[in-house]
Amino acid sequence: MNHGFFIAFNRIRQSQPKARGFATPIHFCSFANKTRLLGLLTAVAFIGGCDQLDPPAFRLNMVEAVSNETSTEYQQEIADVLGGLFGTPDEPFALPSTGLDLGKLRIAAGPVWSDSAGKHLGLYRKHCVHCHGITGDGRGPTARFLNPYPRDYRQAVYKFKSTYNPAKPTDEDLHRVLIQGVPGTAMPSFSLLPSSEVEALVEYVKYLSIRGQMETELIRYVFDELGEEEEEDENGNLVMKRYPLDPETDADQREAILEILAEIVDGWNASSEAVIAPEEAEIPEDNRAPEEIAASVAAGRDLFYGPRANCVKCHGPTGLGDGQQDDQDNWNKAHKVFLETLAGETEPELVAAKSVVADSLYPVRNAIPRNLRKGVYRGGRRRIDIFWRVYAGIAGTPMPGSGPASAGAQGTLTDTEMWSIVDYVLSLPYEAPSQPQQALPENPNAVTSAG
Amino acid sequence: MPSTNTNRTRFVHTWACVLACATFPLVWVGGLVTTTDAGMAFRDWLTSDGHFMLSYPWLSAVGDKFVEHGHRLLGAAVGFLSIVLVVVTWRCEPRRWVRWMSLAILAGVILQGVLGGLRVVLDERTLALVHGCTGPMFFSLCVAMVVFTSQWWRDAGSQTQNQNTQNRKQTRLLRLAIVCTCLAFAQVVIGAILRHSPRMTGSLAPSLFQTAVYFHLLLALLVVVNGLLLAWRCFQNGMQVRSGMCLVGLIAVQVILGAGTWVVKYGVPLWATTWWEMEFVNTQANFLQSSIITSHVAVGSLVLATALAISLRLARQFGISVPRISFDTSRLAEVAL
Ligand code: HEC
Ligand code: HEC
Repeated sequence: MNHGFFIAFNRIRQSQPKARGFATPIHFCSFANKTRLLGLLTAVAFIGGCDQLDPPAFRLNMVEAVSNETSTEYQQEIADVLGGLFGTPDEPFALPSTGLDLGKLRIAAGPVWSDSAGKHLGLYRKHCVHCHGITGDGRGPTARFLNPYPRDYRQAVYKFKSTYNPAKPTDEDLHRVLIQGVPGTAMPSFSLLPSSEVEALVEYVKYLSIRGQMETELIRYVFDELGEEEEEDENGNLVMKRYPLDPETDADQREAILEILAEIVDGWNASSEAVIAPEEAEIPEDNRAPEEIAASVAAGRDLFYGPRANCVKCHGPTGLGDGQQDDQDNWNKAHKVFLETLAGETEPELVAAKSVVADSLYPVRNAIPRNLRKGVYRGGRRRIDIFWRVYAGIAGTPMPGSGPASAGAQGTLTDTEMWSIVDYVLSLPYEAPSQPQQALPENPNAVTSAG
Repeated sequence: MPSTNTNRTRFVHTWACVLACATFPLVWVGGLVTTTDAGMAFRDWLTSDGHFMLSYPWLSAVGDKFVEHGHRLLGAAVGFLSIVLVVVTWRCEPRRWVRWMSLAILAGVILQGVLGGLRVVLDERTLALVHGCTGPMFFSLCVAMVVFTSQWWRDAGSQTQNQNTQNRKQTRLLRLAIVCTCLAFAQVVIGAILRHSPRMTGSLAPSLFQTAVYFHLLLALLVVVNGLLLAWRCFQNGMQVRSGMCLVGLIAVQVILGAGTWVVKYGVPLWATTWWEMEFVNTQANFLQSSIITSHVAVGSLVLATALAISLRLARQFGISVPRISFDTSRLAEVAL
């Protein structure tokens, strides 16, 4: 393990941006200037990026960095450590202990091209980057325009999965999301891609997640363990001494970092044991009599409006999603909290640093409970999909789970009750609303502004 | 110089039409290459995966290789047609400047091919951007050739006396048409930036994309207003009425395709969800998505070419002499840049 780690850190130097055919375009630009028309065209192209010489690079999580007062030196060191552990967008790397398949990562990463056997490479940049961003931070060029925003993978929180709320998704869950897309959002379906390519993309999503988790943990590690301290030098004067993040020479740091990584990876590996398996006996038959279904729907309705499940609190008395609308999902809430701390900040230096980051954030949006009368289910429309949503809630959003929080724990509702709710939810689009009205959000302010 | 043999010159016109008709699908397929991100299906150029152009087993290729090699084949075909055009023009066309223009077309297609090839060999998105802007320019050049060699052009020349006293109304109409052409080309350029800019993975990507999108929308508004005004003025003056209507129709289609492009790529825009809640899921690279997006690219070129054709014809009707027009058109492209 330690050996692998050394290799990883030797990679830091190798992983420094390597120009890939980027020197020639400058040459081309000056060549083009000879022809007047083309010269002008190139000037326009310049805006488009003739001057961009660096290959794409991962960006640091500035919200975390600024919140934890990470100095620029530490930021660089963290970027170096991450570079050693995970490589670059063009040349991904993963320690064997992460369990990530480097072959798949290489297919998904890098620029778009096809080899002579017809194998497609650079899949992430071809299909995902314009929404999810090169770092997987959900900040691709188009992200600003989308609602909900594309997923920021770096927290490793996923909404539509088969596992308990805090658990990571399984590979099959991510695979399913890619194949089906997320109906009702910008996230498209990739059902036309061969499944080998989808698998490579799933691997890459996990890679970006693990990298993002590691980044946050490193920032916290630096905040907790390292920093500057006043120290006496040999003449007895007080001087500031900085403890650098340098796992290459510091064995303790190396061990600590590897431990953090192992913990993150364990979380992912545990996902297959955290899959919610409904009790066999309680799963409703496919060929139930209409009366049986009607009874189940009625029971589900009672629960929906009852105090125990209390779905009505958010989804509203009509199921139109017009209940509580002033909460945010994890991602927007983090930004909201960040903006609030900025508002309460008094130290001018921190105000300046935080303002720069705050300016780059997109507007905070509220989590609007789903309009259940549309019959559009983002996480899938099978009964088992809805069951998982009701059981575990939707991770990262205000939607709570009604089942046990982990295997063996006590849930609010029993399996039978949850299946009834599933029946009721699936019948809602066909139920005549007592009060026909336009689906909320009617008020765009509720969507775009912070509470 | 009066034309001596109309049958022969008519042949030039026919051939120019053939070339323009072959170039439009080329623009379309070029758009498809970008839509399906097939530009780097091969890393070599002139050869495709080591095969020479005609010996590559194109019909048994699939996906991006089929699209990209198809684009290369079509490009070669247009190159061939351009060579024939030069031959035909130099043999049958009495006007010197038209002959030279056919050479310019040949030079254009070669330049465009080399640009496309360099884009592949260097794997440079900026060149793809330029290639995507010069493609529609080349198409417009072909359409201009069609206009210049037409019977209408020669007839119109014998009707108007070369008087330099144009009234102000005419000047305004012509100016409107030229502005429309410039705007259409600017739209093409911004569209190309949206689709190709290599900065789209950089840290400036969000602001670049936003700026480009807003600018694209603003220009779209200007093109619509300008196009409608132009068509209306044409109608008032009884000049180029049919072309004017054609332009308006194309712009309308283009606006719809533009909105469609957004919807099939990104879903219902946020501001529109008040009226139209998104209830569907897009499928990446399905037929609907690729065809709408690619059509938006191709119809953009058509709008440009139509506006240019109208400008040229109006100029002719107002008796502006030829050298000045050809000067104007190259100036025009520069202004649009
Ligand atoms: C047009 C923009 C767009 C593109 C392209 C796109 N996504 Fe998404 N993606 C989204 C949005 C928006 C969401 C958030 C959906 C939500 O929160 O309900 C999302 C969510 C996700 C999720 C999280 C689902 C969950 O269960 O929480 C994953 C994983 C994902 N995308 C992977 C990908 C991958 C891999 C690609 C490329 C193959 C891709 N996306 C391409 C917009 C996009
Ligand atoms: C605290 C508020 C809250 C409560 C209570 C709540 N929900 Fe939700 N629900 C939400 C939000 C918010 C979403 C949208 C989450 C997202 O996709 O971002 C949602 C989404 C859903 C969805 C859509 C899932 C999909 O695949 O699209 C269903 C179904 C649903 N809720 C059912 C229920 C049921 C049944 C209950 C009662 C057991 C319930 N909810 C209780 C807030 C709530």
